[in-house]
Amino acid sequence: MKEQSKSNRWLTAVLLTPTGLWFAFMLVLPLIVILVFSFGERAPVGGYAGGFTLEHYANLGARLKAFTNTLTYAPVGTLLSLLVAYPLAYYLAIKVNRRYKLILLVLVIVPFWTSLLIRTYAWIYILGGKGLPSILDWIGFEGVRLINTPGAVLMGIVYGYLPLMVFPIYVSLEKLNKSYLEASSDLGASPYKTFMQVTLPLSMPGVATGCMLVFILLMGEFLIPAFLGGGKVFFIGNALVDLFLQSRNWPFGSAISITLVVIMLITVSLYMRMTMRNSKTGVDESLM
Amino acid sequence: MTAQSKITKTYDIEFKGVTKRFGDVLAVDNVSLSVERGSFFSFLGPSGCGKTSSLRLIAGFDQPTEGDVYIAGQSVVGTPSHKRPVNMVFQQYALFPHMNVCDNIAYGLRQRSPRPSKQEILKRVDETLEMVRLSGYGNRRVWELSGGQQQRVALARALINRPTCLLLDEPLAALDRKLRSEMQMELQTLQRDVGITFILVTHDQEEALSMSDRICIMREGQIVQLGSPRDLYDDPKNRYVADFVGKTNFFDGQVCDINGAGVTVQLDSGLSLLGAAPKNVPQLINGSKASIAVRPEMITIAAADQVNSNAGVSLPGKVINRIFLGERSEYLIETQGHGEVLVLSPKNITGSTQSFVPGDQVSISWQPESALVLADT
Amino acid sequence: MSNNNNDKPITATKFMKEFHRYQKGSISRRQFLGVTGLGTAMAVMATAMPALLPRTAFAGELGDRLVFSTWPNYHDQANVDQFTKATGVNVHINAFGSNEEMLAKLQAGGTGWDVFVPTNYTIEEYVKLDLIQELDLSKLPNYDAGSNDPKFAGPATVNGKVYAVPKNWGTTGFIVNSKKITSGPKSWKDFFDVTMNAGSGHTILHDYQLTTIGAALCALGHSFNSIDAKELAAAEALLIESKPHLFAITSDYQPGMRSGDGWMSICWNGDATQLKRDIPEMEYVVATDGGEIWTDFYCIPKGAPHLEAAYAFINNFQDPAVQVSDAQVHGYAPTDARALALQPKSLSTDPILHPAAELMSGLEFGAAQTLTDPIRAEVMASFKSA
Repeated sequence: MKEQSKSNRWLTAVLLTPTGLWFAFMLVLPLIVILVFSFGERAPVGGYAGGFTLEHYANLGARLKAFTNTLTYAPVGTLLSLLVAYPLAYYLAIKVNRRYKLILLVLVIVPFWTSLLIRTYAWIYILGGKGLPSILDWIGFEGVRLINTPGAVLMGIVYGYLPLMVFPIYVSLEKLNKSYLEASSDLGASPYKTFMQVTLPLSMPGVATGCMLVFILLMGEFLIPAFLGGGKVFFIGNALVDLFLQSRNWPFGSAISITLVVIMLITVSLYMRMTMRNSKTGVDESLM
Repeated sequence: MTAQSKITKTYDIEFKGVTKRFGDVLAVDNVSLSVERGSFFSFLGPSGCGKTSSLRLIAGFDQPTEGDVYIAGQSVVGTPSHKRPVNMVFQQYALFPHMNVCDNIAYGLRQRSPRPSKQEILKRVDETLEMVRLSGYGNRRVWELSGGQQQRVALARALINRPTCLLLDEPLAALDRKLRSEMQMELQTLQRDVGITFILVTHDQEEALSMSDRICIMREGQIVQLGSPRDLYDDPKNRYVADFVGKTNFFDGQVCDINGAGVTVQLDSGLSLLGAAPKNVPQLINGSKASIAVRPEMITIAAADQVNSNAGVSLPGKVINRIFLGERSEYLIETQGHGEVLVLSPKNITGSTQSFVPGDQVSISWQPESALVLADT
Repeated sequence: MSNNNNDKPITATKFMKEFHRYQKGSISRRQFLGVTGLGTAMAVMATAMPALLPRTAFAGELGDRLVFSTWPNYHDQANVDQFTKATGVNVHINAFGSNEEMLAKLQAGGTGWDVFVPTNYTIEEYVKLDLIQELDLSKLPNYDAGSNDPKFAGPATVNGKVYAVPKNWGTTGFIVNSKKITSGPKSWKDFFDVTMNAGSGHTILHDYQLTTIGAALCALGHSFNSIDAKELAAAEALLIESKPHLFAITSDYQPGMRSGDGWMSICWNGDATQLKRDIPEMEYVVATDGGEIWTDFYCIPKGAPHLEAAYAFINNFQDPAVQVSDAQVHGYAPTDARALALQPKSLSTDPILHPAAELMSGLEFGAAQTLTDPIRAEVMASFKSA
């Protein structure tokens, strides 16, 4: 027995090696590089020069606005995406005729086949002076400006991240056993009460996953604020693009990246702790 | 038009010309029936026969395409399920996985308006838990329970609402054999205790026979025969019913003579056999396809050289298998030209049963009056 | 420097056209790509998936491929297609949004570029950093050093060696929608005054440290190229003060100007030509208190994978006829006297391409130190993140 478990362990180690190497090279190594950079000096012509200093961390306050912007827009954007995505996911998973389900699902995915860049770019025209505002103007609302406002950024966020929110919720609603809904109705609950007491709590894993996905990606977002906020709504992502691609201050950019990673780690571990505590909805499905 | 008619008072559920179509599929085809208050009623049939569709029409999950459904004398066509005074025990129980046992059971009461007080709900839940013998399980997670316990929680969750009628959709299908027969007894007892109408859907004839007051056998959306278990067993209307209810030996042929003594069927082998015509059945006519049906317990078995002269019909055969069941034995006999015949032979009172082993040449026989002539429909 | 683009506010065909351009890697403006790093993605894609490139019937000794990094819409596609037809070399185009970004890419290494287009003030730095090659002029027979004004061509020669040949020259001023702003601003000082008063909410500044900080410095009476900490602090204060009054901070200012949301913007003269072509009330202003004059060059990075093709390509675009044909599309003037002689009257008399000499007297060429000066970089970054 002992021999066998030893050789098993060997096999496991061999099989896990590629994954381990991948993990080391793709995740750990870059992180280490960034960490080392964050303590270095900016080379005179830009980039990285060795050394050890904490000045970049001490200087984080210079990007305080970017941090507070990101930490405001990310949760608000996540919440708005959720409010838009849930009814859509619900409709797709529960209400829609089977025959059209696939078509509608594909329609939700199709925009993903084009780069977010192009799609966001289209919104510059739609929200610009010759787009929606000109129609509003025609109706009688003069001088409305949509583009380059916080509202435009939030709209872009909801638009861009919708599928990421829709799909986890859709999946959790789709695999929800329809007999739970019938049972609830059978026991006297109106459709509204059934939704609040059964559908919503049972779809919480999807909601949590969707929110986490969108939130994490929003923390690194730079394209939407640049395009739809006219560069005036500045996220951490924009600060990083600037530092790495324009001013070439790699060490400061690295320090900001590390800070961002730490913020995300804290968020994710809070999320994990929360879902573990509420795991009553997660485990059951397979067992029931 | 008033939904109440004179006779509905004693019936909890009535179907009047109910038809349900799903697209091109005819699930329930012009069904009319009445379920007496306080009775245990079963829909029996193979899958796709329309029994579950019928139950869902009562629950209100579906609405009939044509016809009327009445609950306690009131037409409920168009009434959504959450407004109907019936409750269901689902096939896989459908217990809410995000709630504990207590919350599952209290669910129905909490939907009431006005909502009963906390103490009232707690009291009722405790009573109901006791009724299904699960006292002390209130705080368990539903997935921590065994299949049988889950089944009882499902029962409790439905019964706590004191419905006019309890609907059971294959409630025992998920249980193992031993638990199933225990639960059959329990369900029957429970039904007598609470005194409300139970409507069971099952494909298991034994389950239906053992628990029901009345059974409705369905095929392709239509009622084939509706009656007490005894009626169905002793007086099956046709071959389909006889085949579905209990075990039966069939000898196929054509009706060749009908007279006061019975109906004579000429078997495909050429042999003519006499049998009794079932009651209340459209007349069999000469030349129509029919079978002689003989229940295994109606057949006696003897050694080939001990042919009983009293026997009305006897056929020679050879034992090919024997299953010892304690108080009786089941033999499978290979006859010449009439296929295999199942014989259920009780232990002789004197204890001197002749027993046979595979390979023995035997003679089987039965009285013509214990054979039924059944149309092939 | 560069730039360009002619989007009309949204029509379906136009959008698809843009999209195709994007697919070819040439779309849009500095910001568009500067902000995304898309240029690299495309270079990687082209390298990783050669099958994506159209195959030509023959592949001569030049090879079948060339990676060209330039500014967006800074060439006539017909001329590029003509080159491909003649040589069998497929040109893969990356568009970049700023000199800083090109430098960042080359410093990081592994670009796979064969030819790129930097601006005058960066060449010396590229040589110092050993990122570009000395050119073998014998492989550029179409290039005529003598016909290029040394004022423009000068920066190509470092330590007596030629590292670049000129592409175009131009100016950085501002564009005004004269129907919306009637006060006729003439200087950067006027520009910022109007921004914070009558034109509040409708001004666009570049997302580019050289021009945006330069404009603020000029408005304050300092040099466009200043790296003096005090002067830069004052410029930063002016920029931050004007920020609430801005419509956008973007080098992609044509859409905003065309949609009517933007009334005034820092502007390169080629963009001005393109805007005025469609919207007559657009007026280009070379500011009286300073601004930029610049030359863009063709360079070959160290380690260019298709060296012979690179020379053939540059040589092709030194042909005076090709230079004129290009200029008619993008609206920037050639530096080559042979091409200037060939250009039609519509170009030679256009004051946007060829401003009066007295207007240009206050303009400065970008200074090398602005490219790498850490204070300028940080002033720009903190203005944006304010």
